[in-house]
Amino acid sequence: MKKSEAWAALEEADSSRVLVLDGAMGTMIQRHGLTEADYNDGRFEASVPLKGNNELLSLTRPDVILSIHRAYLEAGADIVETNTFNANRISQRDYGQEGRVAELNLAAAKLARQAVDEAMAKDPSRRRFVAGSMGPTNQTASMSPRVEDPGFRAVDFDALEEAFREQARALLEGGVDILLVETAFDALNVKAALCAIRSVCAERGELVPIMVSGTISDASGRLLTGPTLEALYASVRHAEIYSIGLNCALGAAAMRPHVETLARIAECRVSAHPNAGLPNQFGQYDQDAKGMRAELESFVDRRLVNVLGGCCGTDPTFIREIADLVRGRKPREVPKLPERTLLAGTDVLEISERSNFVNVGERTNVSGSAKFRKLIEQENYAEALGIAALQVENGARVIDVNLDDGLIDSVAVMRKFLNLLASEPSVAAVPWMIDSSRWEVLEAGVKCVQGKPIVNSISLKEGEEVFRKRALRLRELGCAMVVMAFDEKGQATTYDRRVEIISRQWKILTEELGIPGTELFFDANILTVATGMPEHDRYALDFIETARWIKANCPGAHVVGGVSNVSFAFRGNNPLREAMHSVFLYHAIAAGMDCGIVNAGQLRPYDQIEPELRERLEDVVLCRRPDAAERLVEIAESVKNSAQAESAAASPEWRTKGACERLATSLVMGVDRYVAEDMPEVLAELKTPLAVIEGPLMEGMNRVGELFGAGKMFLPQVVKSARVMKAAVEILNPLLAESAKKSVSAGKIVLATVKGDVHDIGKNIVSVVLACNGYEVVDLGVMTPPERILEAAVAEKADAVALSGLITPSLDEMRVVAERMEEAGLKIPLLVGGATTSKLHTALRLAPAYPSGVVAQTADASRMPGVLKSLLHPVTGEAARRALLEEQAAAREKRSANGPAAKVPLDEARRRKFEGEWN
Amino acid sequence: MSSRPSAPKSSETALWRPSRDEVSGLVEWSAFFAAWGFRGHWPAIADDPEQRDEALKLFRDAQDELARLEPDIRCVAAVLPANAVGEDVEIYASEARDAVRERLCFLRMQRVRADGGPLYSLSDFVAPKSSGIPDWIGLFEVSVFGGTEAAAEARSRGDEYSALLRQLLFDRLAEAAAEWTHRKTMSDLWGIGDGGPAVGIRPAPGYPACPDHTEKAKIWSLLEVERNVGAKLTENYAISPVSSVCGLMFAHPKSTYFGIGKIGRDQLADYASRKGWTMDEARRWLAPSLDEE
Repeated sequence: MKKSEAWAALEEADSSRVLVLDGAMGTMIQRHGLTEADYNDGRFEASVPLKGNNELLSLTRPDVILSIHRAYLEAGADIVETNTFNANRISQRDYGQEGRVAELNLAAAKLARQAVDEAMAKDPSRRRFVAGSMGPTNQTASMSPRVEDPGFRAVDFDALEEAFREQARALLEGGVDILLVETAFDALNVKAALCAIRSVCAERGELVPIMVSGTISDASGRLLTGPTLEALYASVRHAEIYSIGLNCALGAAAMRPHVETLARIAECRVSAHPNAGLPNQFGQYDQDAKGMRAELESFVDRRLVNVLGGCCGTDPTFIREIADLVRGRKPREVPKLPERTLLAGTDVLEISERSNFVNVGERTNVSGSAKFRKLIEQENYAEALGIAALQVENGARVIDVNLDDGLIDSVAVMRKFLNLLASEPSVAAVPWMIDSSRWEVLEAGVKCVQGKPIVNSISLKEGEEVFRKRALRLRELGCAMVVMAFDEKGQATTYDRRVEIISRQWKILTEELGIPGTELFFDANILTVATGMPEHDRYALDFIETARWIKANCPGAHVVGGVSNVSFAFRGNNPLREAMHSVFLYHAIAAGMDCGIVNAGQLRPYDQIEPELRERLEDVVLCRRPDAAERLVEIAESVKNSAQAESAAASPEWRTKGACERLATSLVMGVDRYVAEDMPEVLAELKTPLAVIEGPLMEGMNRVGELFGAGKMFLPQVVKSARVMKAAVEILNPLLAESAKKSVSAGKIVLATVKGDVHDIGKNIVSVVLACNGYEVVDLGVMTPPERILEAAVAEKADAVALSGLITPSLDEMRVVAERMEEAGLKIPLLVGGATTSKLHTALRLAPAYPSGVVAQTADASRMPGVLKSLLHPVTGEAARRALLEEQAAAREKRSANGPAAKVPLDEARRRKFEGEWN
Repeated sequence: MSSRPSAPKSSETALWRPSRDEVSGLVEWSAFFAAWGFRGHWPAIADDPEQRDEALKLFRDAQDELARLEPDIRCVAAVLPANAVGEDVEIYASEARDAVRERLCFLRMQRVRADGGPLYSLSDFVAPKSSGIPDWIGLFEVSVFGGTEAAAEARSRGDEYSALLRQLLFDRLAEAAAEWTHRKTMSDLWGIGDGGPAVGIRPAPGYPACPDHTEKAKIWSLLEVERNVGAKLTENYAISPVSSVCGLMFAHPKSTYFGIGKIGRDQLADYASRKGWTMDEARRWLAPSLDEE
């Protein structure tokens, strides 16, 4: 689509400066002290009072709205927003005014247009723009408003799209330059808006600039419905947006780290319009214009934004300060990032050249899993969700969902199941692959997904016309797509046919339709080998060769396939099938296959397959000899039997003891395979989950702690024991009351690698060792800015903060955290560790920065629990903290009494340089 | 004994992507065991009756894991014309040596040495400009990609043990790749030796012989590391991905590793002026080399 004139004008304006967006509309309207009569001059029929429905004022008090626009333009705004935030039929329904939507948007757009045209006439030196404001509506398509029915939705994609289309059409009719989808709390609502806007633009024959601005609802940096900013960006990246940004909910200071995230990842422009700080208890904003300006300075200094403005609580004095702040300053440069595929659930999954193989969980497929089909037929959705969750636990990075079955109403069940999946956080986090052979199921499915899904699949089966149409529709809906090697003549089974079909599909999709290669996953058909039919012998090898061809000829595209097909001839012999999958994948991945639909829990490492079996499998997969299949069948039974024998033989002597003893032994030995099996018996014996934790688990852990402390156990064993503890606690957790959880925790520790440092091995070891000793660990990861550490320490009510860092500048960052903890009035201990930390540095530099608390340094992870225990002890902790402070004071005194070690003056040192004896 | 620097065969920037198996033979296992809390050197650890059983178990797990890993190893290196001027080493744009392309800054030891030994600076290992003798310096950067993802994958399954194994193995692979690159640079670019253990040293900025991390930025620009390898520096000059090593290569046969130790205020001021820093900036970046005042 060709871009609008305003788009070019915006690009020209934003190339050298940060554009200034206006401030709040609601705040300004409030100051006029309007009454019901201002809102309804008699023209509206209403059963409820209309006061508060600000959008109506565009009709009843145009003078008020116009004066607000004028004031913002006067203050220096480059872009003014129309008074249309809630002018959509879903929000207006609350007031019974859904029939007025077109009229409201048209009037509001004209008012803003008039104000901007006046301003341009007065001062034509600088172009100013009208942005049509499109709020999120008051309903979400990704969450249920009913606690007891998580699959319910108050609004769906189609209704949202229709409402946004109506609004966008009227705004453009009224002459807006930009459409601003703002205050977004649900990525699915945003996608519906983008679809609507693009379809209205298509009607008008030109694409207007679209700004997307999200709202973060908690400290974790996610939207209300779960997506991270990276996931939000992945969900909207397809729509050629002008900018992505944030507004509302946060003041500038709190918003900054999140804007930094966007500035790093966005391949379009970045905008921010924060609130005037946080509201006080009366819901008013206390921050003044200068205060906000001070917080925004770093946005400009660090070149984080292209568009800057204000949201709730801001007025023209704020905009004047912002305009003054950005004058003559450079905007953010839009970065050129390497080619990559972004998929998303509520978290993002990036697939680039450097990524590992992406495994797609196959078990939520009614035609692949009898168990799953039965659960769906019985409408036992709770357990069906469990199957999805288990795959994620087992390492699946994408979940395939297929509900194609003659007896199921696939469209309805797909909607229902996906809506339920969204309520399961671990599954909602990963991207989904919507899998069906029926187009209407695919389209219904993707309209329930707020991240960026993959659709499986489209092909040339029904000809080019249908293929084109579907590919374009999927692109509009923001999906990556599996493209199957299938055409009008049928499925490709040979190398030549695969290449013939895929080249034709590649050409249509990329050259004709302009879809980026990174959005495509070619499924070159993994077909069954060793069937006894010689024409099937090359199936696996041809797939592998096709994978190689795709990687060489289709830049950016991925190669995907359903792996279990290859071994279908050996149904009932799982040990053999698993080995075959490993061998097949080993070669296919080497050839370029980067994504596979597999049973994530059952992949055997290639190099652990017994050599004779491996050789025979390779003969089959690589078609190395004519009798390959026969030779594999020869040993197939014995593979199955020996696998069974192995699992029977693996019962050692301690397995004959009582259940509690067995559980404790599992823990001390670091063996996790019996935990689930033993747990029911232990629970039956001890009655409550708390008794299990306080009994055999604590006993085992104490034993581990003692042995480790005494140097009789090594770190690898401790880490393995921790893994068992984790598995056991995960089984018990759902059964535990909150109060019980607390009573078994030794304390909560916030742990982080400091800003600017990426080294986290030491930190991860500390995390395991602490967890082993009963501490709850909140691990903030690497490169953690001080404000996040403080935020977590306060929000989590942490008992201590522990910092790690390897490089020398990290010492300085630790001091900054110590200072911030002092400023925040904290008193909890701060622990530091890492190669460059030392007792002396801690005494001289860190402890004095945090006089209200204590700063302790530990040389290695095994000492951490001891140090923490002594500092946090309810009775003796106070004395231990005092002793530490005294020790540090003594170290400082000794240092200043001794003075620094003598130095050779630099001149003399130079004379005593090493002589290289050059000649 | 005298030394005459030898001219490199090529001063082009070389990019290499060795496979896992090419570098894994150079893994230094002692450091791996130290990270897990074992004492002593490998393979002597395997002879210590107290540590043997667990060490061998860990070693087997490490070997299995290593065989499964798919590290993406990227190396970049160059040998460039250079001469020393005081504690600086000038790198020239060409063999004509008439234009300075970059200036590396080093520190000099200032501790009182009872043995009367030299007070080293790394610049001592490069022929001084005043001697009129042409010399060269090597630079390299290696990064192993995929480790963070591999560890996260294990961690997402609750398997902290495999996660730590993977992280440590990727770090070891990066060190091994640095050794591999050092050997390859010496034999293929500099023409010294046959690809066996390299002559000379390869100190890394941020470590005792050259504690100033900010010097890494010069390696980044000289080798175009971001473009050639894809590795980045954080605001505090840590390298991302974490399993990365960068450094300098000196071919002088008597070059040796040493620690700068603490420096005096005279050198702090001198270094600040060479770097164009304020005294506060110098104090911040050289903090570990200063007496705590």
